[in-house]
Amino acid sequence: MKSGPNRQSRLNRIKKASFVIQILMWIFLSLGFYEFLAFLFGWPSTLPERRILVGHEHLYTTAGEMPAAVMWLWIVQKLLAFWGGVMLLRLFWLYGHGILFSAKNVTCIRFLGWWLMIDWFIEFQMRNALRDMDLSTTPLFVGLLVIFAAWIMDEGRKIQEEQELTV
Amino acid sequence: MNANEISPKANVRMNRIQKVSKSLRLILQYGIPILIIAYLIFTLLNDYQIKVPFFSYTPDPSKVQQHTEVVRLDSTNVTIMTIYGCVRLFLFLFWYRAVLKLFGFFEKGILFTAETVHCIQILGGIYIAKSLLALTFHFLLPNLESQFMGDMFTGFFIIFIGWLIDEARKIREEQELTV
Repeated sequence: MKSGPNRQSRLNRIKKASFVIQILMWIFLSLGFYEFLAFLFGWPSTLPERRILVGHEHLYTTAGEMPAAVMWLWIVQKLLAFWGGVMLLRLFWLYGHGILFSAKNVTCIRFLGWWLMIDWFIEFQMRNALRDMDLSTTPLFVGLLVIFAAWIMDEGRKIQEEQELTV
Repeated sequence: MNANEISPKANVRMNRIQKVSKSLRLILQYGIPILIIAYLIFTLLNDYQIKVPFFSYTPDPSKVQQHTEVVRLDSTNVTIMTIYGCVRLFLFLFWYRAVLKLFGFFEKGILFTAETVHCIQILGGIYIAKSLLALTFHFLLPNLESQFMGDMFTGFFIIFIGWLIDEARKIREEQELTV
């Protein structure tokens, strides 16, 4: 039975999909980072209306309007989000190169889980500072699930490696 | 040792996965209903003016006033909110079932098979459905809070990971069949 061309076509499909996602991510990350800097330094925005909503009813059009504590938390939250974006980009880069279940992939996925949980904690602090507390615990739970999925992938990879080494 | 035999180290790993999956499944299966019941009891106690530590709060009257100005609870809005709540509850129950099923597979040592991929893709689909639902109801009731983009992205990411696992599984199966 021939499986070579089929395997190659599957890998090519993964590479193509990863490439498209990488391009989209580059566009969104670049635009997002520019908007982040534009909001902080008052540069012109690419959006028709620039508003940052924290909690339910705290709308800010410039960084100066934010209370200092909230602004620093917001900066940390956004920088962490960009780092998460970079890790996601790295994950798709690995997929694009045909690396599907390596330790590096697991590290990226695990980071995404931690990011969701830390982001939730920062959001909690921001809302606490603004006395605007109504926060869903879903990201916390999803973060735990993502970390669990990464662990399963890692264990599965190790089992496969050990099986290959078994004589 | 036979090449097809599972090494003792791999067996230990598999046992660990099974134990953790079982614990998580039990926490989900019994923890979520207990939390929901506790929430309902605390809400009921609150309605009868009985204060519950860490749960009861006294709303700021100015904010309540502000909020009632924004959201007018006429009968149409109440109907829309009820329908939205019911559909969200249905999606949650569907998600709950899929997660329990997935943990059940992990518990049995079934890690990367068509069944687990199917569960993962259902989970991704639920997130996309949730975001589309939020978007639809946002047009009907603009004051309704929604995380449209976040859920949509999460859904597509989960489906992509599921698809990758499926492709990797098929590649492995084809390689095993190659003579």
